[in-house]
Amino acid sequence: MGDCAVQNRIRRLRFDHGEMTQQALADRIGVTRQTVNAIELGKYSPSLEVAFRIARVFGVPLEDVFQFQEQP
Amino acid sequence: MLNNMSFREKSTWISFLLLLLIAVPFFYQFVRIESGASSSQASFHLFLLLVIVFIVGEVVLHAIIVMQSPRDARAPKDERERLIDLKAMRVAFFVLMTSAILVIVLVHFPVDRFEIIQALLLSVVVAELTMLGARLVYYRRDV
Repeated sequence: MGDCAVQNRIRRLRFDHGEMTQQALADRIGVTRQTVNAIELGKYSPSLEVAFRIARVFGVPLEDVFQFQEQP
Repeated sequence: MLNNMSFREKSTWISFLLLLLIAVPFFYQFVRIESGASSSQASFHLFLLLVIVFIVGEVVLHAIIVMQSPRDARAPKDERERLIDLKAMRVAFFVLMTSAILVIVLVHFPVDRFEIIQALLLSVVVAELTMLGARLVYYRRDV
């Protein structure tokens, strides 16, 4: 099995939700703004709990926020 | 750069720099005592002064960053910050174990009790600096 990478559409979803700030999203999911930034940049993969909270904020299924891509 | 830092990253920088600030003169004093350039009495006074500088520095500087972002200061650590703490602790653990073994080796050489205590203290300080330094690296890397 190759390396795995989790990509996300958080930046796009924030834009679609009235240019929601990272701080506003962070406040709603209970993490710091720096953690939201790290998730958005793909440097940190959040726990399932935080991933579901993000999806709930945007009102979309988890798969619309995070995509799992297997790399060769 | 300061604006991009979380409250806990700023707090870690304060502790790291303050510890470095007091550790350098303290262990330099130990070297001076060993070379006969200073007395252990002067060393004790310096130790008290450095402890006071450390405590006052921690309180004052942390009060400043709490005033800058009171909400972040009250918030519990999130999962990424807890992960950073655990990773940094693991790095520091190996440093502490290695230095502890080195101190055990040192016991078998002709050294007095004062030198062994200093070596133990140095081990603890180096391990703490490693933990704080590793945290800063992980914060900068975003994990």
